[in-house]
Amino acid sequence: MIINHPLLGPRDASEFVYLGDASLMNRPNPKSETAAEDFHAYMYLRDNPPGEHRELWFHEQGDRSWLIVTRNTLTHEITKVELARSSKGLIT
Amino acid sequence: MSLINKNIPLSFTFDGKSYFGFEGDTLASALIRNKVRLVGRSFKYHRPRGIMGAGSEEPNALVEIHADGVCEPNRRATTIKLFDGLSAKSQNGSPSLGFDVLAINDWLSPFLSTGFYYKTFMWPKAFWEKVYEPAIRRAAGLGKIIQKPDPDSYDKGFLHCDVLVIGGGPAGLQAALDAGRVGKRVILANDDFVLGGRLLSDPILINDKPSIEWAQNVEAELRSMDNVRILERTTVYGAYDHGIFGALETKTDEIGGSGARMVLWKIYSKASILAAGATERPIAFANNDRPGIMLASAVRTYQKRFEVDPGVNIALFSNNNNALSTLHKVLIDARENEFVIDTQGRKSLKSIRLNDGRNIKADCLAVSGGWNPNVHLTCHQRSRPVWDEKKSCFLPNINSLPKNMHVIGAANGNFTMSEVFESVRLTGKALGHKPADSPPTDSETYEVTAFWHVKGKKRAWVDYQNDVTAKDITLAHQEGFSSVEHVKRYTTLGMATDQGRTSNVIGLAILADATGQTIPETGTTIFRPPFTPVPIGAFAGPHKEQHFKPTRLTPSHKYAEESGATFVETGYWKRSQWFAKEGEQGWRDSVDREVITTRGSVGICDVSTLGKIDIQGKDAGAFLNKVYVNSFKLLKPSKCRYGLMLREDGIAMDDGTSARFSDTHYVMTTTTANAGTVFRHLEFARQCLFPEMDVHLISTTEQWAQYSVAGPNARKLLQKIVDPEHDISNEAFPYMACGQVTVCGGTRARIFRLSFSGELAYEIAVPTRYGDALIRKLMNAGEEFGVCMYGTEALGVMRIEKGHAAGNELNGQTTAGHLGLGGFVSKKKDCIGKVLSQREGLIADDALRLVGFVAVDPSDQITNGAHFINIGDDRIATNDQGYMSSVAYSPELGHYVGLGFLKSGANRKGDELWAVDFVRNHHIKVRVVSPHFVDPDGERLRG
Amino acid sequence: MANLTLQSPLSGHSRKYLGITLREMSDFEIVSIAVVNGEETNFGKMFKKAFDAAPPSPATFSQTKTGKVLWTGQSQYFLFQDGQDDRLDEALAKTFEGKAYTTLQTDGWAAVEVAGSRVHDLLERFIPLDISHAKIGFGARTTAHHMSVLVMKTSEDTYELLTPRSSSKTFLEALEHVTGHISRART
Repeated sequence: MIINHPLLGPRDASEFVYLGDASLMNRPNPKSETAAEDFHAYMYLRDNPPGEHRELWFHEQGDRSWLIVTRNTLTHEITKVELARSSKGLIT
Repeated sequence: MSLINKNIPLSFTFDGKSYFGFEGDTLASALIRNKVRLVGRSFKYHRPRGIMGAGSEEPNALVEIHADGVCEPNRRATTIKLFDGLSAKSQNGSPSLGFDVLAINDWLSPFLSTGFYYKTFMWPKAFWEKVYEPAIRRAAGLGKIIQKPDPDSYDKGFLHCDVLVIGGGPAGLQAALDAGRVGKRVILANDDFVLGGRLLSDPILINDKPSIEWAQNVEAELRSMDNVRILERTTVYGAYDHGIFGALETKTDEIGGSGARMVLWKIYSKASILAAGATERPIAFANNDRPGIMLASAVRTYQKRFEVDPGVNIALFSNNNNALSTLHKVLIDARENEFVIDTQGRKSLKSIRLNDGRNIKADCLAVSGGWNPNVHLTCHQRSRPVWDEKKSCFLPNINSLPKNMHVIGAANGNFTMSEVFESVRLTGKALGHKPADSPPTDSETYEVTAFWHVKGKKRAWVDYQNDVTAKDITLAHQEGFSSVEHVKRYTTLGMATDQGRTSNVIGLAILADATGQTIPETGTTIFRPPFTPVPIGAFAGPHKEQHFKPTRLTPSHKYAEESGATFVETGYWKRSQWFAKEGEQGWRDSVDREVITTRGSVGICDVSTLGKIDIQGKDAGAFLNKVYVNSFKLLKPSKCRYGLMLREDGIAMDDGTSARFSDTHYVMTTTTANAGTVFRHLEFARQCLFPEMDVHLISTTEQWAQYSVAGPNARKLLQKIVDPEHDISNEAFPYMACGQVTVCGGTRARIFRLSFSGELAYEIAVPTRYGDALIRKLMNAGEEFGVCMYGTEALGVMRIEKGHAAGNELNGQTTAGHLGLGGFVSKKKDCIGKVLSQREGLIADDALRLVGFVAVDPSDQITNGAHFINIGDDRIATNDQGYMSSVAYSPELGHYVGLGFLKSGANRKGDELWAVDFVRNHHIKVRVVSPHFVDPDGERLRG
Repeated sequence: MANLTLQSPLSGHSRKYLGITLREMSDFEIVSIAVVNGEETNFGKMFKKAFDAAPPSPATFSQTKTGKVLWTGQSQYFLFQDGQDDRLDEALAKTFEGKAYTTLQTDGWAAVEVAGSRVHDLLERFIPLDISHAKIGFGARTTAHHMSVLVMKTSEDTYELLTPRSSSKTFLEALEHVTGHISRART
């Protein structure tokens, strides 16, 4: 599989480590009254779609950046790759 | 123009007999040249078999290559390039090919039909394992596996191109030429050692000249282009995601040479052109497997390319017009309702019988049932091919091709030369290759009438390699195995090393006939890589034996080797486990001594392998507060602190110490095993959870050589190493202090007063370039104190004696609470894992708790992994109270000590329990005690 | 007491094959530079002042008077400087006046220069990246034979390969093993 790194271009997936659903970016508020429920959903509840999936990959053997990859779980086609950090609006 | 060089004779042996062939021969053509007809015995029935094809589709002529006392089994004689000195042997004939006792299976065939082993050999039950199975196993199989190391080397490599052209026949050659001429980076992969494909067997003219000339001109032009690379004897075996292909290049068939025998290539392509051609299929009729019965195109190949005649009286049985160019004396035209209904000549074809009653003398029967495009690579990503009724074959499904793949030539069902060139032109245009006009060539047509099977009572072979007959297929259907996937598994049709290249389509046509469905309704089985067999050695490449994985060496490795260390593999690291001294009988002698010496005077251990992460930034402290359960933001510079890290689900992930060097500079340590995991976790927190923080990470595990110096004389030793301007007295440098110092007259160093052993201890670090020099200086300086090196075993004994948790306790199931560190978790701040660590199940009243254990009878040995059962309860799993996690013999106390997790452990000090070892099947009584066995008040640390 | 003697990871290894030479490089320092959040512009100015060039863009390195600077990540660089100076990180921290954090990295790496007319025959069996077609000045991190490697293309037929120090013996053995398959040793 090839992941098209936004800064480095296409790289073999073997340079990366997969984490999971991109919703892991949205850590719940630990102070909230519903924190226990929120964290449970955050860690364990997943849609697991047969189709487009946003997921987190770590470029461990490259630039150590975390990427959000939009990949179709049926066809394996990757349609978008973003830097995780910039998706939070901090870097252009 | 000849492809056979009669000036270069090559000697070879087959089954011990010597023969000669020529440069350009395959083993198969050389055998035919020498009139060797019998080349193997079939898998199940041990029927005499001869060469049937001329390429990788060959199902019968599987041989072993022998050299240097090793043997490579199951090689097709048709794809072995003849070399001088080749020693080949037939397979599956015992005691010999000519006289095979298991040919009796052929006469027993009524009892050996498909699935026989599911229906027979059932009684008596005990006989299956001891008698039947071993006998069947001995009788089955083809080649032999020699239990010796493979003497050959294999490499793996990576190639990049704009266009990968798969197949070097006329379509592939023209496509590569067009692409190369417009400057594209082209790789042309051809599985044979000569380019030309179909042109090597058929009398085709291009530009009014023999087509081989055209092929050679194209090859010359391709080789002149820097941007084109031709891979010979390279089979593209798999089509993977995103334009990635796997290809196997065979450099030589000779065993034991100095270079790599094969190279496994991973090819990254922007576009691919599949020009893999087509495979001819035979027809099923009674006794259609005799030596001398061959595919028509193979007969032509041997005649034209290899300049040998497979027979004198050649008959041709065909359902299409393409086969008619095969030289023959008699034509049996299925389109005119002429069939072959039987054959004679067990070890060599003698005659054939036709449906009109004629018996015809023939020593070679060329058979053609039509052509199957080699669609395989188009289907490796779950596409299924589409049936074309007119051409009587499956074609690639153009709606589900792998991305950016184009199919041309015979692989696309273009069976005439003009169609071939037209398909190249169209694809070339689509890819922007500005294709030239197609060269003038023969005008051909392809006319075929579907015909699969001459029905009759006698066995008609479909899958030659696995000995599957037409009867087997109809029997499978009768027994309820009617789907094409079931028929495959029940009959083993298409499951041999040829993967049904010459048999699958006939098989499913027969199945369709039996079920009353059409061929498209019956469908095909799933296509999977590899297209042709790939040796496991090629997948391993150079990564075998000591190169299976990298070896990481510590800074003191050379010194440790000189000192007689025994090494243990910890992941990729080689760590010193203990240092045996002369006279010591076993590891216990050494380890006990190392512990006694360290606790009694001073010992040194290489702890460089522990992860070190350099953390800098204005928010470094706040960041550590988020990842550790306890507080680090307010840690003073020049101080260290123990930290525990949780996963977000509340389970303890890793522990270590972090040192603060300045307001914005920390250095974190992790366990050896988790260095990579923790770094990944921290980068996730930094980039994805808290991106607003100014914090930056980099690994310094390898940057610093770090040694633990522990024991009552540790300070005295270090004062001889650390330069005098740096005061490391107890007052100036108390427990948990850290500092940047110099050693040995000005060399940069760091020192941390940390203790895993519980003794007065420090860790001293220098840039790794000085690591070897430092360990020697330390050991030298320590001589007056009787210093010893200690390894991971002694390290483990001492931390267990002190009740320190390590990997055994941080095992992925335990929380801070289980570890007895619940109070360590700061109540004032959030951290990763805090919320979910408070889940009901993790904080139950009777939750497991880490405590210490001693044997009630001090002479008993405690074993790790034992489970605790209350005295009085049955010693079974349902009464489980917890488990032992770490055990050591304490030289100081003179008995075994253990750490373990026990339900409500904190409230059970003094209780006696069973420690039941379910694996070794014994149990002893243990008592619950504090986990701090040696120096429980920690006085030595602060001295 | 005299200063501690130093050792390079591969003991100065050097070997010639037909068309390929493998040679350890060790007389340099590496410092990792991480730019303080929000200070990229100021850092850029200081960088230009110190090295007479802009910081390198992703997958490239720039030559400096005393060495090279390689892009290693967003706002992260490896600075290479010829010669021995095991406190270079401290000196550079001063140069960047608090706009960047520096960490010594030299001792974590071993460096091998591979060069010669046949260098690409070796590298295609070693490095997964498309480096034969890369420009001079290409520099990136990837894996080779299960180990990390930093590749820098310094001329059409010369590459510097850096690999973590602890597994550098395995790395060199792997390089020699593959080179031996495609070329004859001369030394």
